[in-house]
Amino acid sequence: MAEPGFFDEHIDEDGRTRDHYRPVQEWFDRLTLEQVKALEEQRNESFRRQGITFTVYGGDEGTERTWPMDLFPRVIDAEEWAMLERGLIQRVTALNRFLDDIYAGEQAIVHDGIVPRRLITSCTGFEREAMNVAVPMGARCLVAGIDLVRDGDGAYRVLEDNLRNPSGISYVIENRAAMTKLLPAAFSDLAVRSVDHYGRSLLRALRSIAPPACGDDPTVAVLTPGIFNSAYFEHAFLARSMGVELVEGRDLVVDDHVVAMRTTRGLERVDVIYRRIDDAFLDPVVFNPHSTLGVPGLMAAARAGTVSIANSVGNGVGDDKAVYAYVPDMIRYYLGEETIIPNADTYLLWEEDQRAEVLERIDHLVVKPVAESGGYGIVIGPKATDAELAEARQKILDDPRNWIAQEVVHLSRLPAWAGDHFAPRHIDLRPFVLSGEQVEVIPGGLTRVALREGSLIVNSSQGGGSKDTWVLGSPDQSGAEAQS
Amino acid sequence: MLARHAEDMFWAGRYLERAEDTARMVRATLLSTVAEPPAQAIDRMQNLISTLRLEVQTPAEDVETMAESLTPSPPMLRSEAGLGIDVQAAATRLVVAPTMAGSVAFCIGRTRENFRSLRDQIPSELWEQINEFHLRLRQDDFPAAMEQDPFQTLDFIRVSCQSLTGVISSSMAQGEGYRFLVLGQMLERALMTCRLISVRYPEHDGSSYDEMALTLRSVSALEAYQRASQSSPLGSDVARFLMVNDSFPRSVLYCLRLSETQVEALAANGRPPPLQRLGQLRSELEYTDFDTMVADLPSHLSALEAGVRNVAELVSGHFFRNAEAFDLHSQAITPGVSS
Repeated sequence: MAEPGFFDEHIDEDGRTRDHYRPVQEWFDRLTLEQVKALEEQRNESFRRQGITFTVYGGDEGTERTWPMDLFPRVIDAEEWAMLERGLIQRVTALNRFLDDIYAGEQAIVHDGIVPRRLITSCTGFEREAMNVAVPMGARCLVAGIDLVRDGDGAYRVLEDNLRNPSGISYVIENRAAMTKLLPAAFSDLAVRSVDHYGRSLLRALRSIAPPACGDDPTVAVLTPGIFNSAYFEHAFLARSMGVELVEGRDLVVDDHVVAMRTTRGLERVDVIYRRIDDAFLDPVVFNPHSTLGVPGLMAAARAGTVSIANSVGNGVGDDKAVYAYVPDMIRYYLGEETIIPNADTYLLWEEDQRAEVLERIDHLVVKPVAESGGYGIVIGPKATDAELAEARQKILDDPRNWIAQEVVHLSRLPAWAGDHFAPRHIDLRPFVLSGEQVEVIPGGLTRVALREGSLIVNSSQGGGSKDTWVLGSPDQSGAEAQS
Repeated sequence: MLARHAEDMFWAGRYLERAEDTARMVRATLLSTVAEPPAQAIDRMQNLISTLRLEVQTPAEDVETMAESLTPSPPMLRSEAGLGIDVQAAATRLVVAPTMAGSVAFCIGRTRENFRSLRDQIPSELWEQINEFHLRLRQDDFPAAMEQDPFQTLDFIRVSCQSLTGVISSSMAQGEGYRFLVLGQMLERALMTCRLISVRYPEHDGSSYDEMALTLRSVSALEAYQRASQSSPLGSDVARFLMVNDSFPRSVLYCLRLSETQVEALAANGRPPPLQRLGQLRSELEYTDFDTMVADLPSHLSALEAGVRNVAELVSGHFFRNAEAFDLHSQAITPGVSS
């Protein structure tokens, strides 16, 4: 039964299964306890054998864990997805325009008084080194991951933008592969839109931003920090699905502003780098001089226009959580449109009146550091102890620019396996958006689920799991993707 | 391909081969100790341990060397009580000890690490298989299985290695990466065969049939030998077979020839140093009169072993760490070839 305050994805206010969940619900209703347990076992075994794992930092023992995927899928119907797709394209288009305006344009949005200058210059993600480095077609957020939640009324809201190195797409594809093996019959009842063309779409986007001078057969490489990085599995997955080299910093050299990789036949030129290394470690010449992960001279090569780097350096200014509050203004300013998917209600803590209100109601709000990702540093007011709240208050007073506050969003719920039965758990959604010659959204995305009862924290680093996400399409849509 | 990836492939091949050969030698040794007096069994185990000298790709801090972890054991092994059990214990350690350089579990762990950094280069089937094998070797009950049923456990290891090699040859594109892997396997195998002969070759040529049959069996060569020579195995005949037979895939000559084929295909042009050295080693082996060689087999074997090691160094210097080719100022950067 629906409880007030939370939106249930699969049942309506009267407790009836929603239309688009009916085949899935019927399918799961038919499974016995033993059958579900057998499927769980089969899934674990398959992930373990394939080494589909992620790394948790700071844990004591075995930090390589198998990927937690819940069996009950999330389903999004075609009409709802069409709205989300439009909203995501709108948002990422505006963010690309914003970043290009700031770094390679005239900063018109600042001059026109829409976004305050001090907000931008005070971002930790703002990189002066990236000023005037052009990116073909302004595709600065080549891969964006936009985190969406549904509030108590079921309305979608953007919780945060991830424009630097959003990860998770490999799990979207592996979840689908696993579900297709585990529940093949469930797919035959529904036209679920495919996700496994991602590698080709990503390669096409990367090739489209190659420097014009390198001709029509650019060499693309994925740059990883190496096998000890938590997302190494994904880096290897992406290189493999694009059929390009997976390089580390030590494989690359820069000479006379040309980037090359060390091969068995000497040096070979690289034109486009999909880097999965943070800005700070990318080039020890201009950023962290102690970085051994990066490539000395890479930024100078990018500035000279001989190599394209995706995502662009300095994108942190676009997904700063305080800048986030201005995205609806950006959409209005650059596109002349109203925002299709609204933000969560957000308080900017350097504004005195907003700060006063937040300090007053802090036990009802969520407080977040502006430049973190992965759920680190978040304080959830209603669940925090008095000491934690006092600490948060002090941190806000010490450095108001570094924090925002949001109303608690009552994440929607969907059944997840709780050991011996399915029980409602909170979920969010991270769709992936590619920018190149056009902006493209991969159907669905990564649904994350808080596996602990009542928990609102869905990050895999903090005990969250995931679900396969099924976007239903008309048959002609899924056919078109299969051929593209 | 990336020089780093090529190097990882090469070492994956070496470690995989090493794991299989170690399991084979341990099996043959254990088998022959079954009916032996304890003192002899201990000598035999010592002999095996000294055969399994090892080069480690990059020294890691948590790796005990073979010497550290096993040389302290002889006094214990020689103690009066429980001799049989200690031979078994040493055999178990050679197989299961994950941090002992050269143990099967160590070699498979290294193979997996190399494949892990090649995850984008290798077929998923191969990754799944090495992963599963590795996890089995690290399971808590694996040492007990090795204690209780060593022969079945060692057979499991051999079959697992063989099935990995099968996946490699049936599902991996036979491009550069494949060739580096096979090259690593063949050089390691040549080394291991040399070492096998040097420890198993009797000082006096009147050794028993059982001894020689055991030597052959440890490299699955007994049947092939019997078909080829149709005579009872004698020390020098066995050495000849394992060194210069041109169709048995574990003979040193065969391994060198196959290595040569790989390097020829890998060399962009001309005859780079590793190819020259391989050709030299191979033709020496091929054209030296074996009876002359047998007169001083130990020194020929150690020269051969040193030669193979030298080839491995030259491969590394030419393909993986080529200072000249990576020197920015002497070399033009070639336009990338998209795959």
